[in-house]
Amino acid sequence: MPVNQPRPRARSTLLAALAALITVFLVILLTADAPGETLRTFGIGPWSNRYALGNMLSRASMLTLTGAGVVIAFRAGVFNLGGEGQVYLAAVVASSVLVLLPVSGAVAVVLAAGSAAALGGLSGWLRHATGADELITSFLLSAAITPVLNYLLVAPLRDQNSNLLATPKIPETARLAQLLPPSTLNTGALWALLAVITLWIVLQRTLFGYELRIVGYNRRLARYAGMSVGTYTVVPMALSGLLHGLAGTVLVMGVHHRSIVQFSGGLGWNGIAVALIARNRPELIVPAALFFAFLEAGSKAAVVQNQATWELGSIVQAVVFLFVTADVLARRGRRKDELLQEDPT
Amino acid sequence: MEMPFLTVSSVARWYGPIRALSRAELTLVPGEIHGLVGENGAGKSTLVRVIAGIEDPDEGFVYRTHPAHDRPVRLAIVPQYPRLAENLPVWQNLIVGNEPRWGPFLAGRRGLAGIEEIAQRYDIALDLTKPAGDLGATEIRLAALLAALAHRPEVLILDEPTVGLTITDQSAILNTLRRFRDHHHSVLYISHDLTEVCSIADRVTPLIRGETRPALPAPVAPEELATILFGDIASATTDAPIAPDGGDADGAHADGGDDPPGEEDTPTPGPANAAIRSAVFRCDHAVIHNSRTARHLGPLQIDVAAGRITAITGVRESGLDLIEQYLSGEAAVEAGTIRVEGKRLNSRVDPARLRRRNVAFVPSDRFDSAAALSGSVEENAILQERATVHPRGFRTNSRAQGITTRLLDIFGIHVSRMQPLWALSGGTIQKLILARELDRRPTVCIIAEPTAGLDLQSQLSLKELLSKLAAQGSAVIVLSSSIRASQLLADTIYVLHDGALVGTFGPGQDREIARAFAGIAEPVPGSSPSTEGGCR
Amino acid sequence: MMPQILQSWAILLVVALGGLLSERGGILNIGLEGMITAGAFAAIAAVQLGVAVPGAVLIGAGAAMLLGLLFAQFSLRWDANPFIVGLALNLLAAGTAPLLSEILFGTRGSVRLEAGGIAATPVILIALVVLVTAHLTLYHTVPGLRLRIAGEQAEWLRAQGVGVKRYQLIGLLTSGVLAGTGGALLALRLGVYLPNISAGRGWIALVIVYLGYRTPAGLAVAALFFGVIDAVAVRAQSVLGIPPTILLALPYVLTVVAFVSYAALRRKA
Repeated sequence: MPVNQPRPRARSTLLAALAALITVFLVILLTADAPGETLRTFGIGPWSNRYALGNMLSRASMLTLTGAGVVIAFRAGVFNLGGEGQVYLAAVVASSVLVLLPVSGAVAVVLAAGSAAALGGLSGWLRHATGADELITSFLLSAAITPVLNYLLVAPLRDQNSNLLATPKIPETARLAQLLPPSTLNTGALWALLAVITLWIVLQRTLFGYELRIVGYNRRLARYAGMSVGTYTVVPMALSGLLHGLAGTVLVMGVHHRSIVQFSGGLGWNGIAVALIARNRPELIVPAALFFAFLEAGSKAAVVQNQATWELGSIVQAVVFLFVTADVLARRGRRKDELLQEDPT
Repeated sequence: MEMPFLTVSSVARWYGPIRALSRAELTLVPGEIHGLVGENGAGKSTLVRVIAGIEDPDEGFVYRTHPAHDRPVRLAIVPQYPRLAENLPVWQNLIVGNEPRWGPFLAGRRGLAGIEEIAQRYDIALDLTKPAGDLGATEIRLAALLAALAHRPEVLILDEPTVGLTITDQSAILNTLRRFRDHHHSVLYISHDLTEVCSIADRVTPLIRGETRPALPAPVAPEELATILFGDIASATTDAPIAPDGGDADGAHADGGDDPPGEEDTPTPGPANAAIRSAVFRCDHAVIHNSRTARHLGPLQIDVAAGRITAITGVRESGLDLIEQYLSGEAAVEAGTIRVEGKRLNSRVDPARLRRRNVAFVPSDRFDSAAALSGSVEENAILQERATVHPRGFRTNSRAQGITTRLLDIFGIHVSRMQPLWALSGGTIQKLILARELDRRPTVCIIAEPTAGLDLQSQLSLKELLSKLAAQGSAVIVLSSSIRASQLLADTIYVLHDGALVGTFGPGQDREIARAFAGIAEPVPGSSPSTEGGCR
Repeated sequence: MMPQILQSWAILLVVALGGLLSERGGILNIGLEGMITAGAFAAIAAVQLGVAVPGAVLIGAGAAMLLGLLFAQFSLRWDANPFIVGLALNLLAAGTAPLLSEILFGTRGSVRLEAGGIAATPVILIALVVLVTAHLTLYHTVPGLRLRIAGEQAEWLRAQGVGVKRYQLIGLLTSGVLAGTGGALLALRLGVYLPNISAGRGWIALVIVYLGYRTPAGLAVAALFFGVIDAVAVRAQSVLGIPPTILLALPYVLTVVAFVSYAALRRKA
């Protein structure tokens, strides 16, 4: 079952972003009692105070990490759809390690991100060893591990003194410093910036990044030039898992200070949307993450103001996914690959 | 003459700036087998697509109205290498498109019987009930022919239907076509094999660089056709200012980089001449076999010395494509050996390992396998020098720029380093790939279809570059389906025909090359490895 | 336990046959999960709004068929990546159902039918009818033949003058109809629409397609296997005390095992 790698085109990206905005507007107009007021809340809610702004930036920092994770896999021509599970796994590992064992925050970070990297790398290895599409296995592994993690949080790891289905809180010493109290913005945001800069350097400035790009462009060319295609299948998937794992770690050590059932929901999917909107370019990840964090925060504010309980998140994601690889505006007939075939026979 | 089934009238067809057809004329009358002959790239496939209505002509007309009935003539094309749905029985593959129905259902038995009847009528022996995946290479061809006949066409178009088949199977197919013609239908028969075309066709139309010549009625002598087709080529070659073996290299292309490929030692034929004595690349009774297409080439006896430029020419289907498939690991050496500097190559090779033996190979499908179209010019340019560009793993901008500029300068390409490759013209991309692969002074340097997509100016630059390489001691091998390109570039020319090596010539032997190329049997002076032994 | 097995079998089979029809046409329908949700929600909503049960099944099928149409529009016409489009449909259904539920019934939680669930027998009968029809369509009709060739060797079909995308469109639409029917039957049998009612059935259906060697008869056997697992799982929860949340992982684990083995075998072949 051949699954082509999705390649977002610039115009499709803009269209997808636009479609996402229009969808938000339409849903609000159709459902809100006072659409005008709700739209206003949607537009300015996230910027209205320090708390809201900080929370939006905090969300954007985690989306930057997951978006970067998707990008590095993408650039190697592989696709990590298991972000949801990888974020969740790292979060649960980080919180349980910090709660159960007398270890430092650094050790927890290594273990958490490492476990997510292993999960991502496993899909890459399966692709390399058996040819099973990493797109599908990464999704399925993530979907398989999620109920297990849920179980751990509702039973063995649960904090018996809390009403929440959550672990106990991690020690103060292991928490990341707040940057804009009382919001959840924390030093994890610096990790995210650092990650994006590192990603840019690795991709643009190193031999590893060069070969990774070539493998991503054309695996036949990579083989022709004698590159190890297998390495560039497994390692980028593992690095992708690693970055998702960092997002999960920040979620625990910087934001919630504990793991709560299903609390990482959306970071993985939205990371893909961020990467697609950023057209896999590291320098566009941060703006794309801000855009998405704004969409999320605005919708949430609008919903709260409207006392409604529906959420826009998955609809907006769906719209982005539908449009972002589609060529709605394609001119019929000639395409660039056809133009290249000059051999007149 | 009877009213024709099909008339092609002053048809021209352009692909961007490239003219594939100009003033093409052709008529197909009932009850004839009409041969269409021409080099690879002469425009035969384009003409077929225009005739079939797959593409519209840019100028001129194609009339396809049946002369007796007021409807379009029924036309079927037999593809050269068809792939059938392998899990389905053969007959189900063959009825699709005009399946008999029984109410809402497929009338399977009737469909099978219908195909069987056609097979019988045209004397095609084929097990229709086994899965298509179990068919051999010959049977697949027969199945494709049968599928075309199942559409009950009045006009049948075949493109090289007998390439790689045994004599028995060839004559089976030709007999089928004669039967078809005798039903007052007509056949357009495309082939490179002039002898075969002359033996079966009632009329033959030569196609030369997009232009047709008036159809010749049977009997046509293969020699006559060869003169028409390749006489032109020979004269065109003499127009080109061909410098003798590495002579005119006084650096018309100043190498801008800091590391020019041997500017000083270019016009030094001394070491080159000394190197000639040892064959750097040697095929010894080598037989190349592709198990998927069940085709063979050989035995080949080819010696290429350092400092020489050698062409291996023939139509692609003569086995030229098999050499390329061997070099990209798709076909294997089944008997005999191929050696580089005396060391034997594996029976199956891969391009990366070849490169480590310092053999450069530029495949003819270089857009697909030797370029990253979504990558930038620079990303493509530094491919083979990536270790140099990234000392200790980190990129050095100046080196990346230097190498890119140097490669672009070889053919005088003026593009930005950061442009995506797909934004360049096909010819420019070709030049960049050639420059990249030839830049490393390989011991052996093999280029498939070197002139494809290059204009005359660039062809001459390429010639100069190859001469320079040879003068530096490389053994240069050109695999080309164009006689003209072979004569332009090489000082020794091996000619393949129908899966065998049929002669070795100097570039001046126009007539002999053309005859060998066209498969006209004649005792050829020079050398002529025997074609017996049934290695096809 | 037998009725429990047969009823799980029937619903999985109908959805899997839907997956089969688009897969045989060459497009893996990742959106089955969303189509089940759409079918389930539309059917329950229809009954709540006064439609009779047979009509509700049709409405469920129609709702999922719309998703199939969306799939075709984006992947066939606009050249979008089929996998991403499939995921989009899953997300779309998961997001739209609660939104509509909120608008129609004022809740985003479960919607319970007062009359309760329908009987198991018609569900099983429908599955049998769909099984026979799918077999006949695939192997004994012209569109079925063309669909199979479109999936296996599209170039050959095109060379015979038959449009490939047309049959892939038919495959996707039928896929939607069947997955929607499966979802409708699931919800109507339970007598309730629940959030996440599909619970991985769309993915299991894809496994069934491969385990069943891509033939309707094979699917019927493979679906039985999962029907038994389903029923046993319910027992395991109550008798063995295995936590139910962990069992939710089972379909995905099985899917990944089946998928990887299939890929490994294919590579060997």
